[in-house]
Amino acid sequence: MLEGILTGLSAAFTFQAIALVVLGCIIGSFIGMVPGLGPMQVIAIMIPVAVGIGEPSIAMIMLAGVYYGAVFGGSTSSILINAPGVASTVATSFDGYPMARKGFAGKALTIAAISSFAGGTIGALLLTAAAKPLADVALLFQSPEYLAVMVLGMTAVAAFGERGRAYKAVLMVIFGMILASVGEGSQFANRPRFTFSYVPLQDGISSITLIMGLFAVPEAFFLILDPKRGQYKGDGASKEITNMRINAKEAREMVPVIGRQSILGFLIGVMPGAGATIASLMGYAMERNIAPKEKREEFGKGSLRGLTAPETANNAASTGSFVPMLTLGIPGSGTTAILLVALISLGVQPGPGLINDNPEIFWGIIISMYFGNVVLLILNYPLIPYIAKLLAVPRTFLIPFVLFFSMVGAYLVSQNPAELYTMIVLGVVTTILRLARFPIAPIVIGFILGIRMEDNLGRALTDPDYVGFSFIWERPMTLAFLLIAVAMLLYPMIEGRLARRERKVVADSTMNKD
Amino acid sequence: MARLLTPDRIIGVILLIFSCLFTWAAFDLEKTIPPFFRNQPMRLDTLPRILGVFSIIASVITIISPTTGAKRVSDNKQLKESEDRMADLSFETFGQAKWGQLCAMIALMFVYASVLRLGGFIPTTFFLLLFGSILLGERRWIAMVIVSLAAPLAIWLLVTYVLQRTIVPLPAPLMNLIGG
Repeated sequence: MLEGILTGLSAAFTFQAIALVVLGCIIGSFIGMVPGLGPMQVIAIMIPVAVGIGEPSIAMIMLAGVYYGAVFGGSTSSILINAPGVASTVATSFDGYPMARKGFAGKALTIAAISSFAGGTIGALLLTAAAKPLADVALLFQSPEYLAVMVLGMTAVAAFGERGRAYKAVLMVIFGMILASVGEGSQFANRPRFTFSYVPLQDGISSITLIMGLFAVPEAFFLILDPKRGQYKGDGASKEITNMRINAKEAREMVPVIGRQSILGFLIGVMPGAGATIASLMGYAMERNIAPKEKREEFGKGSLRGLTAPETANNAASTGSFVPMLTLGIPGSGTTAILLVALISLGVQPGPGLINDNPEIFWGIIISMYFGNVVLLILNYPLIPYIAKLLAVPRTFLIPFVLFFSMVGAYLVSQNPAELYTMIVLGVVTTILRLARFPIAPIVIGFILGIRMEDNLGRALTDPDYVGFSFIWERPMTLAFLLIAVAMLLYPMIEGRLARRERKVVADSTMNKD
Repeated sequence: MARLLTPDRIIGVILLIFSCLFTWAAFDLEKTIPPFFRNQPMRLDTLPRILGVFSIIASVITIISPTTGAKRVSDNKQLKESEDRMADLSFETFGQAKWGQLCAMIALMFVYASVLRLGGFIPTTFFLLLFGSILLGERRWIAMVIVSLAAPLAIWLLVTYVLQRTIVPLPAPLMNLIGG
């Protein structure tokens, strides 16, 4: 592990890498602060820049910086204007915004910055310890196990669906896999599928175009449709940033919360499909429940614990979500799915082999986490009052710019207008799906895993040791993964059915009483 | 009737039609496979066939699933408020949205995609940003012109000199004239 850390240090501590991680953090903080634009959208917009850099380890280090910056930027807009950029910072606004309205905006931002730093750094320590052993276990896998783990990863995304509506997420995963099957697969060169003789589809749908169409474009469309979306709802006073110091008593109160929430957040982040939103909400609820009575009453009115908990948990979970991505090549969240797209676009094959084949990328990303957290703390912290001015950008300028950056990104893929048409159509379809509350992140997870699943299915089916699909029951680990996958798929459906039955019973008994 | 036509079901029916067409296309792929490849355990239609069948099943489940009581209900007031705040527009709040502006913007994007090669990156992007702001209601003309001109210029410089990618900046006749 020490050797790996040294490899990561040598990759992350070059002038170019340091400059780019600093730049990434600043860009991420700036754009991430804009309501509506979260880490997924920011990383999507930055992928063409990363591909332009060419060197995978440096490009990924920059994108990791963008990611941490965007998470931090989202917290800032939650605290200052009560407009969480993304769902994972919603819980931050519960106590961050009331604290800012009381005139302690600077203090709230300091608490958020320190909690984010601590959560991210402890998460990175846990990741450093866990990544190598997990990757070593994953190296024992053969194609049938990979296939089963991918099925498991896909079924885990059922958690993205609304409660009792896991099938919507599953349907979206399949939709993503269908999109991945367009064009020539790696196994079937010169025999394109589902192109309908349209030449630009011959190479398949570009993952960058897909990401722009799924995330950046629909967000701009929603900003057009709903002018009130993410707008400032406060009274103006909270934007005044004055005293940013916290005292020793407050620091002492934060320490145990940070300790608990770092571990909880990391563990939630490791689970595919869970992620930063669930971690922050669970962290908030947990701290409220275990707080002494007088402290509990402060929750929702500007509680220090109420702000520290979600900020620590969401950063630790963001780091935790890198575990399945780096060790198995399976995205645990929408954001890591987009980072995987970037990795693939840079010509790197993600998976357990990454640690041996590209140790500079594997360890470079991990080291960049420590570095990114430090950069955020020392660089962004004094810049917050200036970055906050970006919140005043009117939507009449913001929306055309978001669309422009998306279109430039897609156009640079092959300099073919067909990419733009594909992106616009995907944007319109995604907007309709979002209107009906279908989750979008599973599409990109299905798209990425679909391509790799076909390769592994091909290898498993052509393995002379097995007849057809007999590898499923002849390899115990494959069978175990698949059974867990079935259980994960069925659990939310059964849970939803039971919840409906319970509510019906309660409703019936209420009616009978009336 | 209103209960039958929920957003989930409307999308479910559309996806079911799409899934049926895809499955038909997946099974039809066999024709394109040369005879000596047809006995292979893994063919180019193996996964599409599996996906087709599963997509039909998932679409049907979406259509037949009950519509009541499935929405996430938070017992906590703050979490409920936050869910409301983060919620997208939905089919229920359809009428309040700026559909005209959205359609105009989509049309503008299609026009931009069509003329980008012919008109060159800088002028077409200038018009995209300018008209984009105008149709969203912006009327600060000087700011609009400066921003719409500076942005494509800056991005072109970034793409050309930092990312080392070629992107034609001006219309083809003008480029020929200046020898670009």
